[in-house]
Amino acid sequence: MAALTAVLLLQKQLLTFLPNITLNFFLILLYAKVLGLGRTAAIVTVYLLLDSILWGSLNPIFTSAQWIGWMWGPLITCTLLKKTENSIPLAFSAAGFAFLYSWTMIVPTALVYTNQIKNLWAYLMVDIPWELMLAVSAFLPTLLLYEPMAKLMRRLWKKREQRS
Amino acid sequence: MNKKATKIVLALLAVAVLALGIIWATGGFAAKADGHITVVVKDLGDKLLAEKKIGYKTGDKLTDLVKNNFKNVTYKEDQYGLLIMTIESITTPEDWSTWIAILINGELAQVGISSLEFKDGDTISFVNTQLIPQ
Repeated sequence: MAALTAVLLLQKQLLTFLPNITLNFFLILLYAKVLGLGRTAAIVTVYLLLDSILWGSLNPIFTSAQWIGWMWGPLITCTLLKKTENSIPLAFSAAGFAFLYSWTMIVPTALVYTNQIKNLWAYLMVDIPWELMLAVSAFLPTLLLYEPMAKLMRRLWKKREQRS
Repeated sequence: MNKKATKIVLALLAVAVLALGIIWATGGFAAKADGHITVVVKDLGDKLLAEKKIGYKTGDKLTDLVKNNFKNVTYKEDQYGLLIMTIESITTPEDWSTWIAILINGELAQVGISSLEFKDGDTISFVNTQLIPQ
């Protein structure tokens, strides 16, 4: 699980040169599918703490909201999408998780910057292209990589469980 | 359409949207006509540090106008474009407990300094701001 957390953290750092492009949604969905809700929640929590410390953005309002934002994916994947293995609906779901994350983050942003955001509607409109990019970066890897990666990860996880 | 073909079509569409998005997000803004803007620098507590009326020509970029007219201006490259890190006596600390907010005509800018669209008569303010207001 530590290695999976490291993968999550590392890809985020490697992709920072691209605006709003991340494999987070795909990886979190994959982890949720293979490992289940509890283990994925632990990975997300450790990842979020390390990432926030690394970027100097650790604070109660934003970090809590980010945790909620990241947890929409595993929560929905392990309940409503529990039986879905087809990468097409999963890719659309991953894109949906990206929008849910973005909309969750609007709450702390509006709370903290309340004295500067005079037109929340304009802020929401300007945010849409960024949300769309995040959604596409969640959609594409899930569509193309989910099925082979899930197969591989399940095999590796089974081997690990047999050994322990 | 079978599953493989559907995946290919969806992937191509997604790549096109992503490419357009990256071009849009990383592209800067340059002035479309000659004019003047007022640039204000304020410290915490709304303390005025500097104010200048700056003339610009078509094609000028805000990053250059600010750098050429104010002291101690530094930028940092970020995934969303350039971030202004210092201006006059204001410095963004490493823990980001304060940051330099950009306001255009009194409203928080929705994009970074390199993408901020401005026109004749606009007032652009750089305001030292606490991340979590006390």
